[in-house]
Amino acid sequence: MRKVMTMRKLFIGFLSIAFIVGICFIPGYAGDRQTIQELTGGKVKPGDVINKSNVALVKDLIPDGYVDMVGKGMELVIADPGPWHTPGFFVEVTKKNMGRAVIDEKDNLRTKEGNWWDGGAPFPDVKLDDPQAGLKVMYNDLHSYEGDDFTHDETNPFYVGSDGKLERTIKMSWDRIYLTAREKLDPKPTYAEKYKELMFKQFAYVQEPFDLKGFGNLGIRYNDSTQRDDSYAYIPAMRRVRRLASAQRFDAFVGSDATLGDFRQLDVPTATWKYKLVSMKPMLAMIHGGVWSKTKGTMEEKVLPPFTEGYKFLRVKWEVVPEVYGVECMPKDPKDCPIYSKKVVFIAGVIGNTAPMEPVHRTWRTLYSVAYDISGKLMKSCWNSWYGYGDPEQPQGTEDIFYEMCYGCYDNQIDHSSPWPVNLPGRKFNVGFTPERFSIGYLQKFGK
Amino acid sequence: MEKKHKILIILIAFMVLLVGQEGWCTLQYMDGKFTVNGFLQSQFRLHIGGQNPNNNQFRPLSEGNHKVNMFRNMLQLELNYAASDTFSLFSKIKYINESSGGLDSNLRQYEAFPLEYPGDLKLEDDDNMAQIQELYADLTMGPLWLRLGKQQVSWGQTDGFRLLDVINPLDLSWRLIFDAMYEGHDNVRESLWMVRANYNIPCITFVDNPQLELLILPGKFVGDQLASDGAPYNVLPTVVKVHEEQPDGPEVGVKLSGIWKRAEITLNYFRAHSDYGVYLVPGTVVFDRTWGVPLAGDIIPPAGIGREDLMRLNAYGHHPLMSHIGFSFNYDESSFTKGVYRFEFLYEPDKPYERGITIPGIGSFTNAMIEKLGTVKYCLGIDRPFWLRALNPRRTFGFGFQVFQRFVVEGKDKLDENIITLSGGHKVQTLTTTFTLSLDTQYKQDRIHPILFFAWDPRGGFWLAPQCEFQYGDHWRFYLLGTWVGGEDRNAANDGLGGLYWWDELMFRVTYQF
Repeated sequence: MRKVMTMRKLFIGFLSIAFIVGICFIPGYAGDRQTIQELTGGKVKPGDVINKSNVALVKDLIPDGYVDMVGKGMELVIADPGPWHTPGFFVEVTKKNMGRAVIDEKDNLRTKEGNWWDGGAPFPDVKLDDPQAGLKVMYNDLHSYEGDDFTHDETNPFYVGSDGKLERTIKMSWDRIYLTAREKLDPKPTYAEKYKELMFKQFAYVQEPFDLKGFGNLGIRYNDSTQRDDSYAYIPAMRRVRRLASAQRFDAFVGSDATLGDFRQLDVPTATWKYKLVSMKPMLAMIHGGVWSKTKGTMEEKVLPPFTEGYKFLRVKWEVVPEVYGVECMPKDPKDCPIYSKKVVFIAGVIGNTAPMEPVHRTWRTLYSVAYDISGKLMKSCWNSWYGYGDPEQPQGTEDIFYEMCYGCYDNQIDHSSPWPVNLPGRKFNVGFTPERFSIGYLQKFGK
Repeated sequence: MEKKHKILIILIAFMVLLVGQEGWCTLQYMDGKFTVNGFLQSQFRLHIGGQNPNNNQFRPLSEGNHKVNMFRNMLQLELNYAASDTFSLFSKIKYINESSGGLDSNLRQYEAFPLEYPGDLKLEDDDNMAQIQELYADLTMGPLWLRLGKQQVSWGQTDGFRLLDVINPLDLSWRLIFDAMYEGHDNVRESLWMVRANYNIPCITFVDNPQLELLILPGKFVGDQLASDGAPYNVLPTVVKVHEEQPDGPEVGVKLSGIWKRAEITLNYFRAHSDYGVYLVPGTVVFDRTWGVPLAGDIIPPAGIGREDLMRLNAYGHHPLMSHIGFSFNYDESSFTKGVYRFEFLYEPDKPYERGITIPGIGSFTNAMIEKLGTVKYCLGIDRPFWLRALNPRRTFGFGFQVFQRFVVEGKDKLDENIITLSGGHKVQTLTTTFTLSLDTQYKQDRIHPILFFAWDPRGGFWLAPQCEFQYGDHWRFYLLGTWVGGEDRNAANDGLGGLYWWDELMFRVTYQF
């Protein structure tokens, strides 16, 4: 009798433990937020600075490319997580469309009805053991909310050599309009029937230096992500628009360490690559960098993020992101990317300390990535460094908007860096652009 | 231009630089609405080819081959006033000083800036020129964009050749069309007064980006300008004195464009005077071009004792009205060949040629009248970036290939009789073909940009131009260019590349931009 009682207690205890463990590991359930102290056994706390002398304390919380960068002089200022939320209307659209997303035989994202995806995060509750988990995380990132259109009136690619000095700079602008899967601006979700096959159009144009001034690039992305982009460029010296070959997305963008394919960590037609989810864990990232950067005006008026080693590395706040999905990405056709053997992209699920730890509140924000060359060696580390939410210059009515303070890439092999500070006052969302603005005629008009 | 004016302009230029804002930026005023930028540039071209035979007629035998093709200093300013998203003003102002004559005693005084026309907004003398090269207003009203003023318009898909790119004439007094290839014709195209209206057509839904463009060029015609007598780049024999007609406008063009099934397509029509003239020589007989001495004709009497004591021949440049009808398309084949294909086609039903007549027993008379013959031109081009990681692990190589053909679709019997010429006596063949090849890549974050350009004329001519640009910081740009032209067929009358065998040169250019 006593033996039966003991066995029963053991069995109930085992079931209880299994239940608790199961809750923690149910795919899609986000679990509790852990602090930096908990993750490092109390060895690191907010306010500490991670540098080459103590990077080992956090080496499991940052990608290896960043361990290398810290070893070369980068510093991470550890901070408490700040507020972050996913816009309410985006959460509603995600809820409404939950369960409707499917991946077709070509790895395209569609609705169950066979149409192109029409809004919200398609797979908010992605299952970690799903063989297509990596692809689904990438589609979540692709459809994360960044406005139905946006404009950066100025971003400044810096070219920084091994000595940390500025070799040269460029001033450029970047605008985009989404034509399908629009969530807020009318007409939605599709701008017009004639655009139903297009995902977005974007327009990047160079304002300085003089020899590049007027260069503009018009890019068109299709919902059928087996199709390459269409790309046109206005060449000022020729006074005409030239069609560009879009297959080569990994050529250096105006000579910087970033390529077109490195934007948003991996900017390629999604179905042309293959993806594998390799990790999901808390990591450190630059979420609330803390600098409302301004790149316009005189040197005194500019507000740039702090750097170390000259202008090579950002020195901003890093905080724990409770859910970071690591996706290993490789091109289906190696010729599509002759310089990388693979790229590991890290995408945040829930961010900050305010959003509920629930699937529909996952924001799917890219954090950073690491690329490896053809022989498998570490080659390049890219980042999206975020300011956070809200415009301090317009505190009312912009709480749904997040801001990217600085994009950039660092070439780990040749010790060359290309940080791109963004002029945050000039970054606007949901401007109300029309598709006609993103046209060859506009390229010519702007380019002179 | 007086020396004091030159000094004043240079001082103003340096003041603009010194008082400008810190750093590399455009100079900005009025809260960023008014911007000024531009560059200071010095360009030196060393002549390494043979003597220009077109300048030989009045040259004593003792005079040596000149060594300096060009020593040109330039200040260019671009002023832009963006009043709003819908209205802006733009102006490009140039000051150029040409000092090659002062450096080389074998170079006679020549007119460095021969191009003149009403409304050119230019002040000049033999060695200096100040010009408002462009001046226009942009106005946007919904789907309609208007550009009014002195401007350039470039149609077409082709590099180097002019098929649909016939709106603006070229100033060829200081370079030819293949020069500094990646700079296109921007520095050579002469801006003209015109109305440009571009309309995004909203009701067409089966084509993306449907646009209708209308061009109207009122006023006097302006044609291509060749180098003047005695200039290093003179391509007309000095024995010929050219008088250019200046017919009245207007010239009108229409272009319809759009993207259909991911191919960009244009349909073009331009009714205009022929930019490149046909030359009539009244009452002439055949003369041997290599000697350059006319045997008879409408001769300018000798002015007196001096180098020009040989007689010169009057030639009258005509620019008849003609139609340019064409289309172009480009397509990015990104799946298999991963290249961009572009095609441009032009039909000129009434292209003017020079026609000679033969009187049995008397002789042949060239350039006696104008004959209009239907002519077709087309160009097929391929652009394909590719990786050669052993030579450049971080940047692609750009590969470009073009084949250009021109053929006369009527009047073959006249061509066979060899009495049809073009542009001062060049023989016209039924079919002419030219191939071009370009290769480039970039190193050190695009601070070093080598380019190789090669053109081949199967009739026996080539043009080889290796070049390289170097960038230092945001301001300094250095440029090297070598040009070698030659081939088996050196007879300029055959209108092939080989006839420019004397053009060989090395160019060095330094630019400070702001």
